[in-house]
Amino acid sequence: MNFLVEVFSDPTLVFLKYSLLAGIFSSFAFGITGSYIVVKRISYMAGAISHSVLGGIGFALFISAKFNIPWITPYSGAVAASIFSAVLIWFAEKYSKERLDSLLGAVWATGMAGGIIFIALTPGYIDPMSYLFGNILMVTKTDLIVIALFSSLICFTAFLFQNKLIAASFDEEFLKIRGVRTDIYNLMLLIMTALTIVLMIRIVGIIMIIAMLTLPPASASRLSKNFFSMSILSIVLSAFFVISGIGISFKYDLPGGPAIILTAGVFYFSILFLTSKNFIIQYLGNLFKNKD
Amino acid sequence: MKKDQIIKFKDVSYSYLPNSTPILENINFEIFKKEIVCIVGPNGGGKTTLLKLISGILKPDKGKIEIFGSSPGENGEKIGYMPQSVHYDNSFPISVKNVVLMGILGKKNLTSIFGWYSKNDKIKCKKALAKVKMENLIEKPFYALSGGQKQRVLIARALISDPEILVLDEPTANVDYETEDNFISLLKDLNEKKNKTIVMVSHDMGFVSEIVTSVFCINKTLVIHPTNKLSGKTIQETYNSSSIQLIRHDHRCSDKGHIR
Repeated sequence: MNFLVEVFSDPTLVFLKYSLLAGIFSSFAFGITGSYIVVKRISYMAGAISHSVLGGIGFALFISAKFNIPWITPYSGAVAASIFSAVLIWFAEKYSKERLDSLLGAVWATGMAGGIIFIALTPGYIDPMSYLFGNILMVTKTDLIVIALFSSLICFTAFLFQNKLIAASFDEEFLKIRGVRTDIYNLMLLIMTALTIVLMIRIVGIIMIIAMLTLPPASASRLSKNFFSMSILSIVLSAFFVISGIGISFKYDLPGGPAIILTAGVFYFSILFLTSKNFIIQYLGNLFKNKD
Repeated sequence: MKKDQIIKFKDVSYSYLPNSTPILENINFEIFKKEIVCIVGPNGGGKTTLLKLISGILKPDKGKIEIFGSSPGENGEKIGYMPQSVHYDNSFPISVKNVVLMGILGKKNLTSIFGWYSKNDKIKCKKALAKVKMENLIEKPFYALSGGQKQRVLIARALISDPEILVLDEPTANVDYETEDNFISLLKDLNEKKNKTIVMVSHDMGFVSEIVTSVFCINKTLVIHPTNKLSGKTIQETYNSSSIQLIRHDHRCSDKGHIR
């Protein structure tokens, strides 16, 4: 709490204030989209989309430097690449007979490889580390506005189509029989995922973003009985992880992204242990009984 | 008087993989309004596949299917489909209420663009659950229910839209005797008072003979039997015999007299 007061009152810590606010704003989108990803079990798709984003960032940096086009920012490259991957995955899942996990692996790795190559080709020195693992010093005021807008858009869409999105995640076949175009809702969910991923790239980086999409909802699902409470709890947890992670990184001078993810991970494993404690005790008990 | 033909299969074949042995071959039948058809047969014989062809989830490789005179999928809202409860994710956080309300979502009604449920929909949901005696568990999470309770919820979901045809995949698996009894009278009621056509898969022969008008025994192909000859012995023959593969027991075609 002291940390929060300090950040918001000390004008020299304005960068921290921006990344905290960015984290809190994006938590809304992360909690909601993440809940869908967890219940629909498509975190591997989200992983492929998020890693392929590096390709877009690298390409944007390269084009922008090479042809001197300042308005092509790494951020716009990231948005384009993530939406492109989302549509590609949706299209392949719908029409191709290819095994989905092979395709996702390909999107995942070629995106990253392309990104690194483009960054290497870009004139001048660019450190890919800040894109891969995040850098809380990079959030600007403009970013903050964009994040707030995108996050509200995602939440609004999810709110508007909630019944259909939940139903399509639960039983696609049934809705198809009733003439509901479930493919459209799948695409909607993938594009929501693509946009959500971009929101926190600055803070936790491409590699670990999948954790922010899955760990808060996965922890929340252990503690809630319906989808609504699960997504609300995910939002709260997500914001809590961002605040405490940045707090830890500030206090002990540690990298911000990993501190956030580590907090989320420790919390998740604790919840997992506490909610399955009886099962573990019973299992160990049986183990010893059998030995006697 | 000519009866209304609801479902028609003409020379239908289906295989799950291209160029492999078909799971259903040259299936021909017609189902008329107000019939109760029960599909029986060995595991892997194609019972569920047949239901999926009727409901339009699967498209036939060969042959033609007509539901109310047009191809399956176009009349999806007239079908109340109940799948087996085993294929559901056992940790999906959704309430009984929301599972049943799913049965209202569709392409035609006005609220369907966003899929918001009206007050009337919620009343229908309660009524549908009351029919299967599950109204007390309306707020419970679906995953917390027993196998039989889940099935009753899925039946309620199939009933909520008041469909013309009920397509039920093993509605009586996992349920106790009393529930089964209630279920039989529910089907009887829907059939007699509301003129519903019912197509279902069942392993339970006792259940089958009580209310059904036709029995389809399915194992890849179709052979026809009159119902009045249906006995424990013929059924045993169906399941064990390699020569008889799909047998249809039917009042209507007893004049064909093709029983051995």
